Amino acid sequence: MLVNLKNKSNSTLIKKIAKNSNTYNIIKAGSKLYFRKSPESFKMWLDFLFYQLEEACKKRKPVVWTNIYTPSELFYALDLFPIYPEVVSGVLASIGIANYLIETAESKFYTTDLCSFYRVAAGLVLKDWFPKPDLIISSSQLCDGSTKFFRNMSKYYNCEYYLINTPYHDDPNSQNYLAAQLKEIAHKIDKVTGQHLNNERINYFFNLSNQTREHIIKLNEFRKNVPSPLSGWDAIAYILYMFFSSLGAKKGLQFYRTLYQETEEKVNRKIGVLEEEKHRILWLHQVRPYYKNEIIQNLKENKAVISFEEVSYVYWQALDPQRPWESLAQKMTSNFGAGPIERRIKVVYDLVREYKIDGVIHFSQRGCRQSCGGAYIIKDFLQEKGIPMLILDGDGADSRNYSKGQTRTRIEAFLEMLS
Amino acid sequence: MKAEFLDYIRHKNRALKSIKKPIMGLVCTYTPIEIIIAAGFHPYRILPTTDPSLATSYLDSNFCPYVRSCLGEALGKRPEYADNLIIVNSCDAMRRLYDAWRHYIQGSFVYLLDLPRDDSVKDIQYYQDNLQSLINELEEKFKIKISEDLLYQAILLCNKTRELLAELSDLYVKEQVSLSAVEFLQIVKGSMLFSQKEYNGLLEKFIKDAKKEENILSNNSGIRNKSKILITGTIMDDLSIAEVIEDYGGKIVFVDMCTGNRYFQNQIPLETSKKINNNPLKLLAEYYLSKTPCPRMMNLEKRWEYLLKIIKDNQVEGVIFYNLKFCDTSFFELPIIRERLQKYGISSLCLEGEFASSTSGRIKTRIQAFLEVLEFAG
Repeated sequence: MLVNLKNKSNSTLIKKIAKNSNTYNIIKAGSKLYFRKSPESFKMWLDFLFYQLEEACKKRKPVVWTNIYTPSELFYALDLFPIYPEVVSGVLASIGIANYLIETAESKFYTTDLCSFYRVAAGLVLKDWFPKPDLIISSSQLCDGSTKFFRNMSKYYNCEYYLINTPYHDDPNSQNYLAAQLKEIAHKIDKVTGQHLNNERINYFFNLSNQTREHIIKLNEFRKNVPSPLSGWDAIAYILYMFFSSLGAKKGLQFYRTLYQETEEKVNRKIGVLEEEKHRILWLHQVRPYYKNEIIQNLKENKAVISFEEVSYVYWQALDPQRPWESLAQKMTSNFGAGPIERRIKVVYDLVREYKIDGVIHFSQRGCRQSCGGAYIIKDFLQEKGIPMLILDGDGADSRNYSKGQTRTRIEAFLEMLS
Repeated sequence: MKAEFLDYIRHKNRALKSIKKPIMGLVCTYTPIEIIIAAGFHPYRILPTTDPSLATSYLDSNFCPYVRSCLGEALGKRPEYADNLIIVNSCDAMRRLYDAWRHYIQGSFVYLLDLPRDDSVKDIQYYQDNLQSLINELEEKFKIKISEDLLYQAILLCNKTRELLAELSDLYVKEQVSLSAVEFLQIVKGSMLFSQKEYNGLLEKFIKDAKKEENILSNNSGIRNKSKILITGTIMDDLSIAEVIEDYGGKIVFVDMCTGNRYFQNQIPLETSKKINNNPLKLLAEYYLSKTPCPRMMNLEKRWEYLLKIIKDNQVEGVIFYNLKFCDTSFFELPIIRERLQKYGISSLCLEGEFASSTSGRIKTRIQAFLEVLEFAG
């Protein structure tokens, strides 16, 4: 698609195109035509994606870069426009330009051992192919890479950076520490936007988030159905994009309402992802490979469906507009990926039982210490319960680390064992 | 005297045998050893030598080799520190070590101490509260009382160690003692293993004797021709790296590492604080968070200013980054710092440690090539 990216004049041209909001209008129109037969929810995601990219260019509101576990409700309430570079990296991998950006980052000393999603995003910034944010706010959850990546980007862009230091535990002292940070950041942002964060705004955006949360919970209930009405392969892609970035946005609520209705219809009509469903899989980790790969074919050929994935589990309570900082802090500290591994084990085990799972696949993203470091402990636990688990090494954004044959062999051997 | 001292401190098993108190293991320099001492334990920094691959199927292959080596060592013959261990939440790898230790090694007191990433007023208060929680747990678990007096005494003891190491470092850099970089790092390492009281006595005598010695390196002109090197990074797993640098013509003037100069930064201001009746936990929280940050911490500008000062004060000609492989916190810092060094005209070399059994030929060649370039440019 983008031939000879290394050509300097092409690169300058790409920079101009990528920073022009009209680009995304044009692509949006084209994609509406191309994907006209796709489900409504998918088209709504496309609409949201291009709306985000457009607004990142137009900057009708201050644009904030943030990471996936910093609550989007906070930014919508503060009248900021959040962009999530980590999920943008996934999109870039899916259109085949991730490796070029990774090479760019590596040429500037970002080593190959670092998470590829951050190398993609760093490459994007180093090429200056994305509109500059007005500020960067990120939390230290869930990983070291995220914390350092955003700090670095603020240096390249020379923009304000705020770190939300997320505590390890969720005891009252830790939550107070976190709530105080959120409140302080909001106070500082007020001065930047001139938009006073009042109760009305908090009420409105928190309620939008809570309503969306209800729809996600109901959607997740439908997915317990046999046969699985919705594939985890999609849920860890465009649906996950919405999960991380649209809570608190009207478009997010509309998306999940539509997706819920689509899924409800499939359940009522007993339509499953596969005609014959032999194995129900639980996928562990926040990502999957987004470049062209054969994993989903490997699964389909063996009549296996990803019935659910841990990342879609709704772990937080509804937000309380009367206690905004405390309830946002509670949302963050109740993340089962944070804290001791027992939290994650409990959720995984519950999901295995609730979704009638036959086998668990942990996608061990190369360079991801937070998730992969706990995989063997989870596997030991599940083994004791008689639940097979495959630790599948791979890379979500860097296709150079994908071995087609080896991945196929491992998946087939695992599914054969399930049989 | 020097040979005796160095021989004595070289063997970590000797340290364990010489300790009469129960051992409390630790894995990070942000662990408040003063609290461990006040609790009646000996703070023992775990510096393993086990092949990290032994723990690969318990953690992950793309994982900090230090953490894997710690776990690997404990999976073998059960070490003395297996039962009582404080792990700081310094990074994802340490967080998983905490999980893996409880799952595979188990122990009666395996504690995770959360650590903020900067030194704001809120961060210091949060860390102070965490230190109080640690004390509460220790008191309950071991049925002890950790008084303010015990904490002050421990602070005095550790301040003395820092003061002695700082004095030794100064003498070493100014070549007023006959000491190689490896020997200097061995002495720093020893202070993390042996009892503070015993070590302070030995080190104080060593410094006194070393100052009296006339055996200062006689060929000063040779030393002046050596390229002055700053090593910056995490843990020096293989001290022979320092030997290789010196063999090929480098003079290490500063070791910005957890097992180097960063370990004995400044002292806790005790006298003034006692007079104004400061809570010793507040002093500890302030000291640990405000000292020169390691790459894990977020204040990049504080680190950069400190590195620049070292470079200027010591006329550093080359910087060697030595970080353990898979260390996200330090490898994310690298691109920014390297670029800034380039703008200042300072050459840099990036090396990765893997807790390998010996320094590879490839690393030796890279160091040699780097120093040759510096010599040529000089």
